Amino acid sequence: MASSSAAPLPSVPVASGWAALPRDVLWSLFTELGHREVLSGAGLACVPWRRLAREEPALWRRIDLTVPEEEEEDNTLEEVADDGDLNSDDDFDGESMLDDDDEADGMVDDEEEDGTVDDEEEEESPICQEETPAEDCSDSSGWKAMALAAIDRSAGQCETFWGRADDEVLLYLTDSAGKEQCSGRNYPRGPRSPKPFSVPMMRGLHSFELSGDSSFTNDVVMQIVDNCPNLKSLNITDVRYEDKWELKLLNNKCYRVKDLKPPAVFYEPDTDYSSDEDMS
Amino acid sequence: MASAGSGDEKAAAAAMITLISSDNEKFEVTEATATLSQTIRHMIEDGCTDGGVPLPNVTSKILARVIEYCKKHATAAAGEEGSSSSFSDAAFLEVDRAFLEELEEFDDAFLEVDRATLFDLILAANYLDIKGLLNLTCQKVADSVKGKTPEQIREMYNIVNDLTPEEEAEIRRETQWAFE
Repeated sequence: MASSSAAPLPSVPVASGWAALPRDVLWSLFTELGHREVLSGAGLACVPWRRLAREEPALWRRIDLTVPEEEEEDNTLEEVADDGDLNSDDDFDGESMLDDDDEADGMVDDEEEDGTVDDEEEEESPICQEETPAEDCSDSSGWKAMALAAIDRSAGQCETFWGRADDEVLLYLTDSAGKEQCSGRNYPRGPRSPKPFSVPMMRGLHSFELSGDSSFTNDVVMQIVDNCPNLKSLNITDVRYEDKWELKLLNNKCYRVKDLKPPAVFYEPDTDYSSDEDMS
Repeated sequence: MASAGSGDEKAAAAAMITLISSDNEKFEVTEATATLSQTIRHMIEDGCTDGGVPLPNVTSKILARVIEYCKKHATAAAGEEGSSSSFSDAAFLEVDRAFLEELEEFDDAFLEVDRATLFDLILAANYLDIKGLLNLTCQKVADSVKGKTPEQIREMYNIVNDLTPEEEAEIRRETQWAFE
């Protein structure tokens, strides 16, 4: 009993209700909830909760704004048009994933757990799985504001981004993720620019995965390859067939890309290019 | 891993620790149960548990529940260790699965508490650093809050809206998606 260190354990700050949950607990709660919920619900409940949601970039290191499937149906916030229009459904599965997957596997993700920041030496960000807006979707709709807000909160620490994205979001993301590595070129912030999808210069992007949208044309993919000089992995298997895919050109352009997964449509017998399949 | 049931382990498992709640109630638990709490584990490692461990932030009511949880899960952990070494046949896996199911049921039943108790359990789990219990309780809160508006959450958890009008305005600007 002599040892003085045996005294009572250090006491926890006296909580005055749920608003005063200890930071670690709230952290677990927010992690459990996911980013969409934090942005639109729990993160706005009161000052302490909002503070944590806004002022902890590490919480936003791996942004996931995807809509869980079971929620997709009954999520009233999303205002899914119920006129059966295919495109409006598409609005919500536009997902994009940006992942700091550089050195593909060697990299230990030891920082993601405890939120210690590693100074972003290797902030060559990101994998990106992405989908352009469906054609009929207005650019000003909420998904973008949400994406930008999430990226803002990551304060440059975002390594992975899952969710819908367009050129503006992408540029915002890469700009924010790797200041030195992204070209400093200006990008349009106008909320409603119905211009064709254009891919910003993204030197930090290492891995890119496009999924399920018809608006990815050959041209867009070529832009991606051109504008992401450090791309190591490109997965476009899921892109719907819309355009003539110039396999040879793609392969030539992608000589730097170690891991190329071309559209599944390549393998269909009726494509013009099927005979010279020499992609790795 | 190896050497399940060595003399040392037996002795350790049998060692008892006394936990003392804020209202001075004493609880005798095995070391295996107590060490689900990292906080207590460290105290044991530092050899400062003689005479009991005072837990001034945990009432006897809550401590009893926490111990109930730890007992159950300490047994589970012991079971897992056993299975990974000597018993790896199908029959044992079957037993294992049954046990896991039982554990899940236990957890579900354990969470059937009012919000005030849930709150105290969370604080205790955090204070005692019992990861499983903290996850379990946070999960419960997360599930209840999912898909709710800030206002609904406030109502549910008696949270006072202490945001200033400016902050509210800022939120409205930031979160157009929620108001469209």
